[in-house]
Amino acid sequence: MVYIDIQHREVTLKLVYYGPALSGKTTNLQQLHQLMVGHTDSDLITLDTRDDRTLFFDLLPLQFQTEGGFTIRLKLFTVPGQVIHNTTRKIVLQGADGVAFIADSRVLQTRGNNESFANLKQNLRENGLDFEDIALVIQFNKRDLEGIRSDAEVDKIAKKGREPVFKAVALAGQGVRETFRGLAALSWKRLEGKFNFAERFGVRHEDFMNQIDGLFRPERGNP
Amino acid sequence: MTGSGPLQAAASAADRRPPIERLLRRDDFTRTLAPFVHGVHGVFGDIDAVALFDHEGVMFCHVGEADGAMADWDQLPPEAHAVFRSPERSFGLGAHQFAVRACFAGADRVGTVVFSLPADSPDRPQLAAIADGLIGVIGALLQAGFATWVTSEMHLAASESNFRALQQRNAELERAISHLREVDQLKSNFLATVSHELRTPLTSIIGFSEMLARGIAGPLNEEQTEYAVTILERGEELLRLITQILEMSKMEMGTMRLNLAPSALADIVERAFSAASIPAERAQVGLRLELEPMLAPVLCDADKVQQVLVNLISNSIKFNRPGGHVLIQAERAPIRRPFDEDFFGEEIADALRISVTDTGIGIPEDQLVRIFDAFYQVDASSTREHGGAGLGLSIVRKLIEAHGGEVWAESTVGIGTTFHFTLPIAATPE
Repeated sequence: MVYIDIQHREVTLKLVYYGPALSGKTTNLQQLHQLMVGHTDSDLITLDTRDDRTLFFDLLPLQFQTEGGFTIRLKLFTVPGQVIHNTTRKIVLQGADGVAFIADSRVLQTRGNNESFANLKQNLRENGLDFEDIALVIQFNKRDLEGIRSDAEVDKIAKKGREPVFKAVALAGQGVRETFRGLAALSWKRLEGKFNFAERFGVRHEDFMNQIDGLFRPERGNP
Repeated sequence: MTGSGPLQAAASAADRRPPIERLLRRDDFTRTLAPFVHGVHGVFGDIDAVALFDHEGVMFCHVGEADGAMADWDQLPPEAHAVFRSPERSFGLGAHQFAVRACFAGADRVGTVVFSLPADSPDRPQLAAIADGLIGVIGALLQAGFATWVTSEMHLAASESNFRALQQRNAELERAISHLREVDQLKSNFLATVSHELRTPLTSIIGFSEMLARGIAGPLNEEQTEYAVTILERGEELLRLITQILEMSKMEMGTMRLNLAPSALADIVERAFSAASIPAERAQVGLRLELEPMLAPVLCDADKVQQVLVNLISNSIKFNRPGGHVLIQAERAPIRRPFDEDFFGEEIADALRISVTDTGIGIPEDQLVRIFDAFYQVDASSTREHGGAGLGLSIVRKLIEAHGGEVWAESTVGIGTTFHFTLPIAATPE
């Protein structure tokens, strides 16, 4: 859960990129890190070792100040997608404020997406988090590949839930920023409702989002 | 093995002299002492610099003005070493008077602190008392750092020792696994050989009893014929059982081969029905087939799939009620069994799902997974009643999985059971 340090006027949010193996969670974080060059001092901490698969997690810490002088820290995590690493996934998910579910758009990967989604629900439950309560966005990644669900199909799936759905080609950086923006906005909104940041600390939603947008380099920011 | 536990490791950590940078952060030293140093933030007295040297006499940290008395020292000066045994532990150098104190962590001397005061300061008579007071503060800082250091060393040692224990355990488990694999292989070889050897004499028993029963060796009376027929029937039953065991061991050894070809499911079902027609009639169970027209051909080894069907059908007959039926249906479906979560849509229906439904006694929910294990029977007493070695479903699963499909069961006790299995659809040449 969000960590609020009133004495140092600091709020820390934990955002987790979840999804089946090889759906592009780490790629999303790598691209974010690229896009934010110059705006973040911190390096992407990646613990991928064997075969470039994420074995533990990747961590991208971000930090900025709002107009009211409040420090916001965002910690972006990935989880290992492989089925056997469930314990690691569960631990990383502890205390998450928002989750971006990175799905593989290929029809053949439907089962993998469904299984990972069920796994997310179960791990949230086991961590004492409410699926209905958590800020969740969904990204359909790999839109450039053959054999994917059509845009119409994705839109139909999107209508089934209330989660914002984004389409992406993470390898090319497309949709990465939008997904992150959506995730940050939704997470903030949920927390705002709970902790009333605007009134208590003078941090308004627009202010927060302006700072989020400021993290991206202008020349590579908007498509 | 003794003396290698984490406690011993921690004890030995406590015996080592910790490096001063592990005990104290320069920041903490500066922040704590600045209020006592004149000209920095000093509010108490005339002390104008404090410096900490490590146990080899190298400057570790300094608080005082940039042009202060010790600002350009990087080593503990010889004068400081010399006064250490004198009662005042102080010396004069240039326009300053210096006091020298040792500092400790645990039982070890980890460094030296030097305090400086202008030689003409009115505080000079109190230098020793001030130095003793401040060394107490520094000592408390060092002790706190020392406690943290010992704790972290202990954690480190504990995790290292756990790691070693786990490594050892892993090695043991690996040895055990390879041993078990060997034994398992031996078992399969043994089964294959034994069942092969059993079949040879059994062929004679079946052959000769059949000749006897048919009266080829001369006419038999009614009772003798009945005995010969019983020998024949029991012999055939035994042969089937041995054949199953042989098959099972072949599959476990990985020597089973599939002759994959596009085949029409209806043909295979028909052959399976004709093989099961006699026992079905005897048990008064009807066999029904409901196939959609224009079903795509499946890519399979027709003989093996027929065997799967015969196994499932004879189970369904065996556990059915008189007047009941066995129903076979098929439809296009994904090759994997259905999954609860379907948010991301349906999977591609690139397989046929064949279902065998009976009107039998049913299987309790908690047994549904285990029934596919070799030699498992829902109720051990049912072995006596219904016969069989508990190999049928295990063979079914191995055969279906060899085709890339899945097999599972649904059941309601008292109503009946449905077995589903999937087979890939043969790619149509376009």
